[in-house]
Amino acid sequence: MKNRNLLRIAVITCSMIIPVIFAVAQKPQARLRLSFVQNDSAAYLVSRVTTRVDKRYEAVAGAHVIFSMGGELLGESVTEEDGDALFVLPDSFSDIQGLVKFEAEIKNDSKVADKMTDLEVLRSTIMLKPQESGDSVRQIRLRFMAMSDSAIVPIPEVQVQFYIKRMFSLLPVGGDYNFTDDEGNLVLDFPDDILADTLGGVTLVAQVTDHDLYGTVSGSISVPWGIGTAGELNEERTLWAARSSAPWTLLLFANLFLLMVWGIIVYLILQLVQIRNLGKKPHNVHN
Amino acid sequence: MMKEDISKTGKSHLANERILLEKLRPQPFTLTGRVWVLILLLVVAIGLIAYIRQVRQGLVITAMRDYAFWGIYISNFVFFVAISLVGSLVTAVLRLSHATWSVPLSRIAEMIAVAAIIMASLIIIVDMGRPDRMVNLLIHGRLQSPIIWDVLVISTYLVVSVLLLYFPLVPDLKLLSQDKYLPSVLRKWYGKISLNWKNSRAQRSILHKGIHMLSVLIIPLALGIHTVTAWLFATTYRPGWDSTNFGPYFVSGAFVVGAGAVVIMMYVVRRRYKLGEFITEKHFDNMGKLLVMLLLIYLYFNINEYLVPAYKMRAAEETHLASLFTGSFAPLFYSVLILGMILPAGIMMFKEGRKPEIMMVMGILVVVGAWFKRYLIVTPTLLHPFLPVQGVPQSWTSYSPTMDEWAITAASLALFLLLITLMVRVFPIIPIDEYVTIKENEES
Repeated sequence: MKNRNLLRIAVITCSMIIPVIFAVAQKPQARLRLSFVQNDSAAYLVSRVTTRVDKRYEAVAGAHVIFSMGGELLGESVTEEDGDALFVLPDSFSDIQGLVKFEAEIKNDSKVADKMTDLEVLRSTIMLKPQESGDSVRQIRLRFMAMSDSAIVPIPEVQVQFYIKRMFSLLPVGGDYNFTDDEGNLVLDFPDDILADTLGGVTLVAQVTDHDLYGTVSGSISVPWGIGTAGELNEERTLWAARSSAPWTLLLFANLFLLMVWGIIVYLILQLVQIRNLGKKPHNVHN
Repeated sequence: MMKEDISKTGKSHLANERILLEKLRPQPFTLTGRVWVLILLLVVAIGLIAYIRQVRQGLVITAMRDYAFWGIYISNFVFFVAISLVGSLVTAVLRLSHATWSVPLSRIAEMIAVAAIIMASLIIIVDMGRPDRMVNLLIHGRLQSPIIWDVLVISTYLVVSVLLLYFPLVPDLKLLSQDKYLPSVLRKWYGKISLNWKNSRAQRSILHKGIHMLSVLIIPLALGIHTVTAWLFATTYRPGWDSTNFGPYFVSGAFVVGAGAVVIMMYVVRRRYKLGEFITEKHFDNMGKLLVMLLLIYLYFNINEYLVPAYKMRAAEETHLASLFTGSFAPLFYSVLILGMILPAGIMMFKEGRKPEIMMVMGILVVVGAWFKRYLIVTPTLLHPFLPVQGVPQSWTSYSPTMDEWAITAASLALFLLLITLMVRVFPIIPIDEYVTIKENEES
């Protein structure tokens, strides 16, 4: 009887411990997403690694992702806190025409189980050109082109978003539903109420976002079409104005304070000179 | 014995000073002293090499990036500014309140203050990636900027601190220039800077008036330098700095670290130069009581600074406070609070805790705690801004000083100690003239 109870306890304990050990030993399944991003300065791949925890996906930091292009190894990158591993493509990528196949792979990683995914991209480009008509209508002409196997071809029916570059984020302009025409062209009426730097300079960004074939592609152009208000602000005497426009009260009190303190310092230094001069006279303890 | 000599002999002021000089004459370095200076020079040399690297390659060799744009250099700067307040505490506040017991400590305080403010001025230049542009601050600086206020107030405070050290030194310098036991080169220099002192009534009157004026002047200046340094932070809209209490918070913290530094130096010079009859247990007892009071005031400000934001727990403050209370900075935060403030205050409340040896340990705890406290004020806040910096690598969102930063910081601390060591080597540690005057006044 006693032995049977011991056996039961052993079986229950094992049934509880073994799954735990198994779960600890088994690495979690990874969800691997690969996307392509291209802007004015670079083209790069972004691979996001997540795992499913409590019915939601959580980013995996520190996972090693191997990138390759058409079966040829490109290199490796490690995911950051947000689960993204970024890999900047070499300059030679700009010479490639036609469809390109990228692969991202997690292999023998200590954090997550092996996983592989791929993505086919057709390299494209956004060309922007400012145009100003006589009746002071300002427009930006966009042309979206792709590098097919044989030639550069215009791409119709692609949705494009326009933004103005601000300090911390992009300000959407021009509405959500802008599509290229049969010639790959799109014209944006430039808004006339954009605040800018002192010279009125603003940067407009046009972006095709997360397209199945082209990925995320953006282009930008700087135009002097903003409202340059900073110059007007600087003329006021404020705490945030330029050096020459300091408030009168600040100038008055700060300089008065400095004059007073340095006046006393100069007086004290003169007193030291006075001590020295007195010492040159014949010694008399009573004077 | 010395006090008896002064009181009983009834000799002239000069004769009394000469009696004291026998005990207070600056001593040449012994072997230990030379080794000490050599070690300090070595640390300074290593720091200098690191600084040359920094000037050549730029601040990229530091760990400072878009998030932590101020690192241990600025923590160190605030620390030195804080220590320099001691000149006004011991020399000015205690002098004006007629606390004559503090006279033997006044020179120590003045030396610490001058060395500290020199180092504060230097370390701020170290923090500049392009030190050659320092002059641009004066040419193009905006008076609206707290950084310009800091430049103005630090340079003013430096001049006033040097004057406050120099004025009471004048009679002692004359005495030293006539001391045949000192090397002739030193005597010559003492003579040159003793301003033809003849102890005449007119000279003495000017000197006392000057010291009194400086004592009055340095108090608002000292409050100004610490308040302006606090405003460098408080006028920046960031969690942990966005406080109207920052000025008094910094001033009270500065009093604490300054008093702690005086206690350490009191102990070292008392032991090293056998000054037990001038720096007595009574001095340690009084400094202990003073330090307890200052620590309690500082603790009160700390409670204010952390409890009020913690009660409101605004989203951005929450991240910052969580990093201090339970996050990566928590071990340092609680160590500083307990070891650098609560424990010393608790121990020094008891008479036995105000004995020289224990006071020395408490002084070290307070000063080391104060250095790390400045680090806790500067760094965690920078890592948790209200508006996150966009598009930066993850490594920029944390801060771990590089070896170059540590080397330069260690060198600045070594240079600070070296300046004090050199001042102790050439000037009397106890103000002879003032000490004799006090004793004569007590007698009469």
